[in-house]
Amino acid sequence: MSSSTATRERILEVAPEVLRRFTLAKFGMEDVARGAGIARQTVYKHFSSRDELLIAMYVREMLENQAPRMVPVVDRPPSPDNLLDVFMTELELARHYPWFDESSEQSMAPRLAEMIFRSETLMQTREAIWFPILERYEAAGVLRPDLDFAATVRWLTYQKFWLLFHPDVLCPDDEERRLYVRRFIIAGLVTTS
Amino acid sequence: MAKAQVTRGRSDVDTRARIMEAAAELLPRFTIAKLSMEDVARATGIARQTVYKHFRSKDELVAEIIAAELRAKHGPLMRDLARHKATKRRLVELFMAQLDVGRQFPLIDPVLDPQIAPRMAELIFGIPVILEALEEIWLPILGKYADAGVLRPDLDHRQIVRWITYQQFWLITHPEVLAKNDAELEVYVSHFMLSGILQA
Repeated sequence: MSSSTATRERILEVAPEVLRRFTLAKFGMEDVARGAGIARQTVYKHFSSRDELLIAMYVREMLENQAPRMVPVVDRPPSPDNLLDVFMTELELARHYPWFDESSEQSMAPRLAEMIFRSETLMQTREAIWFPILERYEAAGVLRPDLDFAATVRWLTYQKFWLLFHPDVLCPDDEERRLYVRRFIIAGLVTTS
Repeated sequence: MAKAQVTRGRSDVDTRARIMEAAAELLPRFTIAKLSMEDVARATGIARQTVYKHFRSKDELVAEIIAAELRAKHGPLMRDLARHKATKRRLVELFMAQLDVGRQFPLIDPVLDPQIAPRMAELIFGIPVILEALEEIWLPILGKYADAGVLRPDLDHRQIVRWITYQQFWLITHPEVLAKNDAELEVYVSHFMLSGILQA
Protein backbone atom coordinates (compact mmCIF):
# COMPACT_ATOMS: atom_id res chain seq x y z
CA MET A 1 0.00 0.00 0.00
CA SER A 2 1.45 3.35 -1.04
CA SER A 3 1.68 5.99 1.66
CA SER A 4 -0.94 8.06 -0.19
CA THR A 5 -3.42 5.17 -0.19
CA ALA A 6 -2.62 4.59 3.46
CA THR A 7 -3.46 8.22 4.26
CA ARG A 8 -6.74 7.94 2.38
CA GLU A 9 -7.58 4.79 4.33
CA ARG A 10 -6.64 6.47 7.58
CA ILE A 11 -8.99 9.39 6.82
CA LEU A 12 -11.84 7.03 5.98
CA GLU A 13 -11.22 5.06 9.14
CA VAL A 14 -11.41 7.98 11.56
CA ALA A 15 -14.07 10.00 9.70
CA PRO A 16 -17.13 7.95 10.82
CA GLU A 17 -16.27 8.50 14.48
CA VAL A 18 -15.85 12.24 13.80
CA LEU A 19 -19.21 12.28 12.02
CA ARG A 20 -20.88 10.50 14.93
CA ARG A 21 -19.41 12.98 17.39
CA PHE A 22 -20.10 16.18 15.45
CA THR A 23 -23.32 15.13 13.58
CA LEU A 24 -23.91 15.74 9.89
CA ALA A 25 -24.80 19.41 10.35
CA LYS A 26 -21.51 20.25 12.06
CA PHE A 27 -19.10 17.75 10.54
CA GLY A 28 -16.11 19.56 8.97
CA MET A 29 -12.85 18.74 7.17
CA GLU A 30 -10.92 20.44 9.97
CA ASP A 31 -12.33 17.97 12.51
CA VAL A 32 -11.45 15.02 10.30
CA ALA A 33 -7.88 16.33 9.87
CA ARG A 34 -7.52 16.68 13.63
CA GLY A 35 -8.96 13.20 14.16
CA ALA A 36 -6.51 11.68 11.69
CA GLY A 37 -3.60 13.73 13.02
CA ILE A 38 -2.85 15.28 9.63
CA ALA A 39 -3.04 18.72 8.03
CA ARG A 40 -6.32 19.97 6.63
CA GLN A 41 -4.68 20.37 3.21
CA THR A 42 -3.81 16.67 3.23
CA VAL A 43 -7.48 15.79 3.67
CA TYR A 44 -8.28 18.05 0.72
CA LYS A 45 -5.62 16.33 -1.35
CA HIS A 46 -7.64 13.11 -1.07
CA PHE A 47 -11.16 14.51 -1.03
CA SER A 48 -11.80 17.71 -2.95
CA SER A 49 -14.82 18.62 -0.82
CA ARG A 50 -16.74 17.71 2.29
CA ASP A 51 -19.45 16.17 0.10
CA GLU A 52 -16.92 13.98 -1.67
CA LEU A 53 -15.62 12.73 1.67
CA LEU A 54 -19.14 12.10 2.97
CA ILE A 55 -19.98 10.07 -0.15
CA ALA A 56 -16.75 8.06 0.12
CA MET A 57 -17.57 7.32 3.76
CA TYR A 58 -21.04 6.08 2.93
CA VAL A 59 -19.77 3.99 0.02
CA ARG A 60 -17.41 2.31 2.46
CA GLU A 61 -20.18 1.90 5.02
CA MET A 62 -22.37 0.16 2.45
CA LEU A 63 -19.65 -2.13 1.10
CA GLU A 64 -18.01 -3.05 4.38
CA ASN A 65 -20.81 -2.94 6.92
CA GLN A 66 -24.18 -3.18 5.27
CA ALA A 67 -23.70 -5.48 2.27
CA PRO A 68 -21.99 -8.29 4.23
CA ARG A 69 -24.79 -8.27 6.80
CA MET A 70 -27.39 -8.51 4.06
CA VAL A 71 -25.89 -11.73 2.68
CA PRO A 72 -28.00 -14.23 4.67
CA VAL A 73 -31.22 -12.55 3.48
CA VAL A 74 -29.93 -11.96 -0.07
CA ASP A 75 -29.05 -15.67 -0.36
CA ARG A 76 -32.56 -16.89 0.37
CA PRO A 77 -34.50 -18.29 -2.59
CA PRO A 78 -35.95 -15.48 -4.73
CA SER A 79 -39.57 -14.67 -3.91
CA PRO A 80 -41.54 -11.43 -3.46
CA ASP A 81 -41.49 -11.85 0.33
CA ASN A 82 -37.75 -12.41 0.39
CA LEU A 83 -37.25 -9.33 -1.79
CA LEU A 84 -39.25 -7.40 0.78
CA ASP A 85 -36.93 -8.74 3.48
CA VAL A 86 -33.85 -7.66 1.52
CA PHE A 87 -35.25 -4.13 1.24
CA MET A 88 -36.30 -3.98 4.90
CA THR A 89 -32.98 -5.42 6.12
CA GLU A 90 -31.04 -2.78 4.22
CA LEU A 91 -33.35 -0.09 5.56
CA GLU A 92 -32.80 -1.28 9.10
CA LEU A 93 -29.02 -1.37 8.67
CA ALA A 94 -28.94 2.17 7.27
CA ARG A 95 -31.12 3.52 10.05
CA HIS A 96 -28.20 3.60 12.47
CA TYR A 97 -25.88 5.58 10.22
CA PRO A 98 -25.43 9.22 11.39
CA TRP A 99 -27.05 10.56 8.22
CA PHE A 100 -30.35 9.13 9.27
CA ASP A 101 -30.22 8.38 13.00
CA GLU A 102 -31.67 10.54 15.76
CA SER A 103 -28.64 12.90 15.62
CA SER A 104 -29.64 13.98 12.13
CA GLU A 105 -31.65 17.16 11.66
CA GLN A 106 -34.56 16.89 9.26
CA SER A 107 -33.65 20.24 7.72
CA MET A 108 -30.60 18.48 6.26
CA ALA A 109 -32.79 16.30 4.00
CA PRO A 110 -32.88 18.53 0.90
CA ARG A 111 -29.12 19.03 0.84
CA LEU A 112 -28.44 15.39 1.52
CA ALA A 113 -30.95 14.28 -1.13
CA GLU A 114 -29.24 16.46 -3.70
CA MET A 115 -25.83 15.15 -2.72
CA ILE A 116 -26.83 11.49 -2.79
CA PHE A 117 -28.83 11.48 -5.99
CA ARG A 118 -26.31 13.50 -7.94
CA SER A 119 -23.37 11.30 -6.96
CA GLU A 120 -22.38 8.83 -9.65
CA THR A 121 -20.01 7.10 -7.24
CA LEU A 122 -22.81 6.44 -4.81
CA MET A 123 -25.25 5.21 -7.45
CA GLN A 124 -22.56 2.92 -8.89
CA THR A 125 -22.07 1.39 -5.46
CA ARG A 126 -25.81 0.93 -5.08
CA GLU A 127 -25.82 -0.79 -8.46
CA ALA A 128 -22.87 -2.99 -7.53
CA ILE A 129 -24.84 -4.20 -4.51
CA TRP A 130 -28.26 -4.47 -6.15
CA PHE A 131 -27.62 -5.63 -9.72
CA PRO A 132 -26.56 -9.17 -8.69
CA ILE A 133 -29.64 -9.40 -6.49
CA LEU A 134 -31.93 -8.22 -9.28
CA GLU A 135 -30.26 -10.52 -11.82
CA ARG A 136 -30.80 -13.53 -9.61
CA TYR A 137 -34.44 -12.59 -8.95
CA GLU A 138 -34.98 -12.01 -12.66
CA ALA A 139 -33.47 -15.38 -13.60
CA ALA A 140 -35.83 -17.00 -11.10
CA GLY A 141 -38.77 -15.33 -12.85
CA VAL A 142 -39.75 -13.29 -9.80
CA LEU A 143 -39.22 -9.86 -11.38
CA ARG A 144 -41.25 -8.22 -14.09
CA PRO A 145 -39.36 -8.96 -17.30
CA ASP A 146 -39.23 -5.35 -18.57
CA LEU A 147 -37.46 -3.80 -15.58
CA ASP A 148 -34.69 -1.29 -16.19
CA PHE A 149 -32.21 -2.19 -13.44
CA ALA A 150 -30.52 1.21 -13.18
CA ALA A 151 -33.93 2.90 -12.82
CA THR A 152 -34.99 0.21 -10.32
CA VAL A 153 -31.95 0.85 -8.12
CA ARG A 154 -32.52 4.61 -8.26
CA TRP A 155 -36.18 4.10 -7.37
CA LEU A 156 -35.40 1.78 -4.43
CA THR A 157 -32.74 4.18 -3.18
CA TYR A 158 -35.17 7.09 -3.41
CA GLN A 159 -37.88 5.25 -1.48
CA LYS A 160 -35.35 4.15 1.10
CA PHE A 161 -34.13 7.71 1.54
CA TRP A 162 -37.54 9.10 2.51
CA LEU A 163 -38.33 6.14 4.74
CA LEU A 164 -35.06 6.79 6.55
CA PHE A 165 -35.43 10.52 6.84
CA HIS A 166 -39.11 10.63 7.69
CA PRO A 167 -39.85 7.16 9.04
CA ASP A 168 -43.26 8.14 10.44
CA VAL A 169 -44.74 10.17 7.60
CA LEU A 170 -46.07 7.31 5.47
CA CYS A 171 -47.20 5.52 8.63
CA PRO A 172 -45.96 5.53 12.20
CA ASP A 173 -46.29 1.80 12.75
CA ASP A 174 -43.47 -0.63 11.79
CA GLU A 175 -45.77 -3.47 10.77
CA GLU A 176 -47.93 -1.22 8.63
CA ARG A 177 -44.89 0.40 7.00
CA ARG A 178 -43.77 -3.07 5.96
CA LEU A 179 -47.18 -3.59 4.43
CA TYR A 180 -46.90 -0.39 2.40
CA VAL A 181 -43.46 -1.40 1.14
CA ARG A 182 -44.84 -4.82 0.20
CA ARG A 183 -47.96 -3.52 -1.54
CA PHE A 184 -46.65 -0.42 -3.22
CA ILE A 185 -42.91 -0.83 -3.79
CA ILE A 186 -42.27 -4.58 -4.07
CA ALA A 187 -45.58 -5.38 -5.78
CA GLY A 188 -44.59 -2.98 -8.53
CA LEU A 189 -41.41 -4.92 -9.28
CA VAL A 190 -42.59 -8.51 -9.27
CA THR A 191 -44.62 -10.54 -11.74
CA THR A 192 -47.24 -11.96 -9.40
CA SER A 193 -47.74 -11.44 -5.72
CA MET B 1 -85.05 30.77 19.46
CA ALA B 2 -84.50 28.50 16.52
CA LYS B 3 -84.08 31.51 14.33
CA ALA B 4 -81.44 33.07 16.59
CA GLN B 5 -79.43 29.85 16.45
CA VAL B 6 -79.53 29.76 12.69
CA THR B 7 -78.30 33.35 12.52
CA ARG B 8 -75.47 32.61 14.91
CA GLY B 9 -74.47 29.48 13.00
CA ARG B 10 -74.39 31.45 9.83
CA SER B 11 -72.17 34.21 11.23
CA ASP B 12 -69.82 31.56 12.65
CA VAL B 13 -69.44 30.10 9.20
CA ASP B 14 -68.76 33.57 7.84
CA THR B 15 -66.12 34.31 10.46
CA ARG B 16 -64.44 31.00 9.80
CA ALA B 17 -64.40 31.70 6.07
CA ARG B 18 -63.10 35.23 6.65
CA ILE B 19 -60.28 33.96 8.85
CA MET B 20 -59.25 31.41 6.24
CA GLU B 21 -59.39 33.99 3.48
CA ALA B 22 -57.30 36.50 5.39
CA ALA B 23 -54.75 33.87 6.42
CA ALA B 24 -54.46 32.52 2.87
CA GLU B 25 -53.66 36.02 1.68
CA LEU B 26 -51.04 36.56 4.36
CA LEU B 27 -49.35 33.17 3.97
CA PRO B 28 -47.26 33.72 0.83
CA ARG B 29 -45.85 36.94 2.29
CA PHE B 30 -45.34 35.82 5.88
CA THR B 31 -44.50 32.15 5.15
CA ILE B 32 -45.86 29.39 7.35
CA ALA B 33 -42.98 29.71 9.79
CA LYS B 34 -43.53 33.39 10.53
CA LEU B 35 -47.30 33.70 10.33
CA SER B 36 -48.85 34.10 13.77
CA MET B 37 -52.45 33.80 14.93
CA GLU B 38 -52.06 37.43 16.03
CA ASP B 39 -51.38 38.48 12.41
CA VAL B 40 -54.38 36.52 11.23
CA ALA B 41 -56.63 38.11 13.86
CA ARG B 42 -55.46 41.59 12.91
CA ALA B 43 -55.98 40.99 9.19
CA THR B 44 -59.46 39.60 9.84
CA GLY B 45 -60.31 42.45 12.18
CA ILE B 46 -61.26 40.20 15.10
CA ALA B 47 -59.82 39.22 18.48
CA ARG B 48 -57.13 36.57 18.69
CA GLN B 49 -59.34 34.47 20.95
CA THR B 50 -61.98 34.40 18.23
CA VAL B 51 -59.44 32.91 15.82
CA TYR B 52 -58.66 30.25 18.42
CA LYS B 53 -62.35 29.53 18.80
CA HIS B 54 -62.38 28.38 15.17
CA PHE B 55 -58.90 26.89 14.86
CA ARG B 56 -57.13 25.29 17.77
CA SER B 57 -53.67 25.97 16.35
CA LYS B 58 -51.86 27.58 13.45
CA ASP B 59 -51.20 24.10 12.04
CA GLU B 60 -54.89 23.36 12.02
CA LEU B 61 -55.61 26.66 10.27
CA VAL B 62 -52.93 26.05 7.64
CA ALA B 63 -54.17 22.49 7.11
CA GLU B 64 -57.74 23.76 6.56
CA ILE B 65 -56.47 26.29 4.00
CA ILE B 66 -54.56 23.59 2.14
CA ALA B 67 -57.59 21.29 2.20
CA ALA B 68 -59.85 24.05 0.83
CA GLU B 69 -57.33 24.78 -1.91
CA LEU B 70 -57.15 21.09 -2.82
CA ARG B 71 -60.93 20.87 -3.12
CA ALA B 72 -61.09 24.02 -5.23
CA LYS B 73 -58.25 23.21 -7.63
CA HIS B 74 -57.89 19.45 -7.83
CA GLY B 75 -61.54 18.48 -7.53
CA PRO B 76 -62.84 19.96 -10.80
CA LEU B 77 -59.72 18.95 -12.74
CA MET B 78 -59.81 15.37 -11.54
CA ARG B 79 -63.55 15.01 -12.16
CA ASP B 80 -63.08 16.27 -15.67
CA LEU B 81 -60.18 13.93 -16.38
CA ALA B 82 -61.93 11.00 -14.75
CA ARG B 83 -64.79 11.25 -17.25
CA HIS B 84 -62.64 9.43 -19.78
CA LYS B 85 -62.40 5.68 -20.04
CA ALA B 86 -60.45 4.10 -17.17
CA THR B 87 -57.10 2.80 -18.43
CA LYS B 88 -53.64 2.42 -16.93
CA ARG B 89 -52.39 5.23 -19.13
CA ARG B 90 -55.21 7.46 -17.90
CA LEU B 91 -54.32 6.85 -14.27
CA VAL B 92 -50.76 7.96 -14.91
CA GLU B 93 -52.11 11.09 -16.58
CA LEU B 94 -54.32 11.78 -13.58
CA PHE B 95 -51.33 11.45 -11.29
CA MET B 96 -49.28 13.84 -13.44
CA ALA B 97 -52.16 16.33 -13.72
CA GLN B 98 -52.63 16.41 -9.97
CA LEU B 99 -48.90 16.78 -9.48
CA ASP B 100 -48.93 19.75 -11.80
CA VAL B 101 -51.66 21.47 -9.80
CA GLY B 102 -49.69 20.75 -6.65
CA ARG B 103 -46.58 22.36 -8.12
CA GLN B 104 -48.49 25.56 -8.82
CA PHE B 105 -49.99 25.63 -5.37
CA PRO B 106 -49.64 29.17 -3.99
CA LEU B 107 -48.16 27.77 -0.79
CA ILE B 108 -45.49 25.83 -2.60
CA ASP B 109 -42.71 28.40 -2.45
CA PRO B 110 -42.64 28.56 1.32
CA VAL B 111 -42.94 24.79 1.39
CA LEU B 112 -39.76 24.50 -0.66
CA ASP B 113 -37.88 26.28 2.08
CA PRO B 114 -35.75 23.46 3.54
CA GLN B 115 -36.48 24.72 7.02
CA ILE B 116 -40.18 24.18 6.49
CA ALA B 117 -40.50 21.17 4.18
CA PRO B 118 -39.84 18.60 6.93
CA ARG B 119 -42.45 20.19 9.19
CA MET B 120 -44.87 20.25 6.27
CA ALA B 121 -44.60 16.48 5.92
CA GLU B 122 -45.76 16.02 9.48
CA LEU B 123 -48.47 18.64 9.03
CA ILE B 124 -49.93 17.13 5.88
CA PHE B 125 -49.84 13.53 7.05
CA GLY B 126 -50.53 14.23 10.70
CA ILE B 127 -53.71 16.31 10.37
CA PRO B 128 -56.58 14.26 8.91
CA VAL B 129 -58.35 17.11 7.10
CA ILE B 130 -55.90 17.22 4.18
CA LEU B 131 -56.00 13.50 3.48
CA GLU B 132 -59.78 13.61 3.84
CA ALA B 133 -59.95 16.24 1.11
CA LEU B 134 -57.72 14.10 -1.11
CA GLU B 135 -59.86 11.04 -0.39
CA GLU B 136 -62.93 12.97 -1.51
CA ILE B 137 -61.18 13.62 -4.81
CA TRP B 138 -59.50 10.23 -5.35
CA LEU B 139 -61.85 7.59 -3.90
CA PRO B 140 -64.57 7.97 -6.57
CA ILE B 141 -61.90 7.82 -9.28
CA LEU B 142 -60.25 4.75 -7.76
CA GLY B 143 -63.67 3.14 -7.41
CA LYS B 144 -64.26 3.61 -11.12
CA TYR B 145 -60.80 2.27 -12.01
CA ALA B 146 -61.33 -0.75 -9.79
CA ASP B 147 -64.66 -1.48 -11.47
CA ALA B 148 -62.98 -1.25 -14.87
CA GLY B 149 -60.47 -3.89 -13.75
CA VAL B 150 -57.50 -1.54 -13.99
CA LEU B 151 -56.58 -1.83 -10.30
CA ARG B 152 -55.57 -4.87 -8.34
CA PRO B 153 -58.72 -6.10 -6.62
CA ASP B 154 -57.36 -6.59 -3.09
CA LEU B 155 -56.21 -3.03 -2.36
CA ASP B 156 -57.38 -0.65 0.32
CA HIS B 157 -58.21 2.55 -1.57
CA ARG B 158 -57.45 4.81 1.39
CA GLN B 159 -53.96 3.36 1.47
CA ILE B 160 -53.59 4.14 -2.22
CA VAL B 161 -54.56 7.77 -1.59
CA ARG B 162 -52.00 7.98 1.18
CA TRP B 163 -49.34 6.40 -1.03
CA ILE B 164 -50.05 8.76 -3.95
CA THR B 165 -50.05 11.78 -1.63
CA TYR B 166 -46.77 10.68 -0.02
CA GLN B 167 -45.11 10.28 -3.42
CA GLN B 168 -46.42 13.59 -4.69
CA PHE B 169 -45.27 15.38 -1.57
CA TRP B 170 -41.62 14.44 -2.17
CA LEU B 171 -41.89 15.17 -5.88
CA ILE B 172 -43.24 18.65 -5.16
CA THR B 173 -40.88 19.54 -2.35
CA HIS B 174 -37.76 17.96 -3.92
CA PRO B 175 -38.47 18.27 -7.65
CA GLU B 176 -35.23 17.12 -9.22
CA VAL B 177 -34.10 14.32 -6.98
CA LEU B 178 -35.67 11.30 -8.66
CA ALA B 179 -35.87 12.41 -12.30
CA LYS B 180 -34.38 15.24 -14.34
CA ASN B 181 -37.54 16.11 -16.28
CA ASP B 182 -41.21 15.22 -16.65
CA ALA B 183 -40.65 12.67 -19.41
CA GLU B 184 -38.26 10.74 -17.19
CA LEU B 185 -40.56 11.20 -14.22
CA GLU B 186 -43.51 9.73 -16.09
CA VAL B 187 -41.53 6.55 -16.60
CA TYR B 188 -40.95 6.27 -12.85
CA VAL B 189 -44.61 6.99 -12.17
CA SER B 190 -45.92 4.33 -14.56
CA HIS B 191 -43.20 1.70 -14.05
CA PHE B 192 -42.66 2.01 -10.32
CA MET B 193 -44.94 4.33 -8.38
CA LEU B 194 -48.24 3.04 -9.76
CA SER B 195 -47.22 -0.36 -11.11
CA GLY B 196 -47.86 -1.95 -7.71
CA ILE B 197 -51.52 -0.96 -7.72
CA LEU B 198 -52.23 -1.75 -11.37
CA GLN B 199 -53.55 -5.09 -12.54
CA ALA B 200 -50.81 -6.99 -14.36
